[in-house]
Amino acid sequence: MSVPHQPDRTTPPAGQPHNRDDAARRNTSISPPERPHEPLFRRTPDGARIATARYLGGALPVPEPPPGSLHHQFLRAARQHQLMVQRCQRCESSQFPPEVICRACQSMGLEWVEIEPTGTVYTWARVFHSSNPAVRVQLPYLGVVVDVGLSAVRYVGNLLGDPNREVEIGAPVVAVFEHLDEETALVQWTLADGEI
Amino acid sequence: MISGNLIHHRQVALVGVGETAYYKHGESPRGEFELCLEAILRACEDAGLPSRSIDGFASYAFDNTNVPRLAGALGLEELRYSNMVWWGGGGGVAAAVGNAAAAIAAGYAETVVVLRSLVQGNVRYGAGRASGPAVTGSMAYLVPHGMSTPAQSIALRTRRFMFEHDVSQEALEAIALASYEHAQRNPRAVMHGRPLTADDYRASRWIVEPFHLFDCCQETCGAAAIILTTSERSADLRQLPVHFLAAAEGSAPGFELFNHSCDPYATANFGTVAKRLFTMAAIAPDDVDVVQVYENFTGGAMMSIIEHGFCDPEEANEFFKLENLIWKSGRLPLNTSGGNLAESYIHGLELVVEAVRQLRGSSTCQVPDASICLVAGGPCTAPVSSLLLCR
Repeated sequence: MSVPHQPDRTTPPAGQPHNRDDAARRNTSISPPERPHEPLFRRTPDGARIATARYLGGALPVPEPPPGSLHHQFLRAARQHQLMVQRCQRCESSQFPPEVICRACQSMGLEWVEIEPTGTVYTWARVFHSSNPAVRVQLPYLGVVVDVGLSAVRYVGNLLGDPNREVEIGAPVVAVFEHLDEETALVQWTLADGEI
Repeated sequence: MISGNLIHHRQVALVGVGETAYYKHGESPRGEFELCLEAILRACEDAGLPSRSIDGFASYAFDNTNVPRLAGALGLEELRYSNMVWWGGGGGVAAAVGNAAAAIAAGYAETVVVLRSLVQGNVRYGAGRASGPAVTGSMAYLVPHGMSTPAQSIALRTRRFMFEHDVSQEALEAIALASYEHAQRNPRAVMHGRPLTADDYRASRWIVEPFHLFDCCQETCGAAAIILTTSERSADLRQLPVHFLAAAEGSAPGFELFNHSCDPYATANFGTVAKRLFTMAAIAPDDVDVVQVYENFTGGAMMSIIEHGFCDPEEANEFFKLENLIWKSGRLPLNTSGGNLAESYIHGLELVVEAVRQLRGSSTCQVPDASICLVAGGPCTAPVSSLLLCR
């Protein structure tokens, strides 16, 4: 487990070289809360990773797609600890986010299939500003785009754990399922070799 | 493949520009409709045209203007043309000028106003969804993760671009510094009198890495309007005409601002558009004297300039230096009014106004002998558009 982020409000001397972490620290106007020292996830008997807490305390709006809609099926599968991708029954292209038609061959015959819940960081962003006051006290947080090795498929989620860590593009990650209720879950990510 | 340009070069002219005062977000004493009227009347006065002679309007995504009311208020003898570009936020700004020019060339209308009026009160275009009830649709994959704003989406693409081409933070910094330097000479600029140093930039708070506060556009209230008519008619008007060379809009296949699965990914989405633009204008990037490039965020502006062929991605660290971007001596003077970052954020229409000033020779940061100016609208969205004007 890495060291929790400590607030540091001292202003560095003028002319100090630019440093991302220093800049982040001195610009954090509100002390971040104590990061819990409990594990980020637990494992099911099948080995799936289940988040032990809601990311950012659950302050963000949750998805509630209409039952039976494209998006509902993905979120329901996530609650069953499955990472799904939409696949065309005709040309076998994969796609995510889902669409009502295959973007490659325009067939309407699409199905959901389960894939390995692993990938690599394709890109990332550390967020320091939110218009939501409940999120604001928990800044910064990390967003990642995850590549799972399929064309036209990437997942956007949060990288759980220390939000001030250096993130490496290409780092292996594993999906973590964050339960919202009995029906749905979000897909989040942890470093494959990182903190437990 | 389009190889020609159905609007003959110099067939259509930009003959009048008008702006209101520019206010910081929430500080406009007047509403959008009133500001819009003022900008159009100023453009009419600038051109030496009565407002009743306008016969068409063009704008782009998110425009709230009630055009029938506008036509009545301005006393139009006849409304012949109204047109708006789908989606894309500021991505449609150059396309709106192109649509006005196309309407004039086709004979649908003779005198068309391109307009944008913006009073960001309840609507804050950059805010995204960070609170409120549940979300549906494909935003369900972004909002719950706090990754649904334009800043966040473009930060992800910029980070990937910086990784692929080994671009440093200083490249983004140079765009912000050039914009603020130009705004110090422009009394209309909201950031006039507020110079920005490299130390200020580096000490400013992060919004979302790799964007500091000064990498992000302002939120402005104000309005701008531009009048186009035939070049033939422009000869009788008040100003030196600025001629329309070409405009192009579009998108790479499958590109959407909030879809992170499309390829190419780390792009401003000008790959296809820029190529068509230069083909239609029958000129090369080297022929361009000055650029006005939409910076919702500096990362998008950087990728736009690269995709228009002004710089190779692998040369970005050498190219994006303050001395290369400033008005008097730069290799490619950029955003000479201060742009969205430091003049005003009227969804980029103020960039077209500045392009006109440059080609009239009346900018507050006048590039010597500027004869061709490029305007690029709305990086990292779809559609995007760009425009070439000449004197």
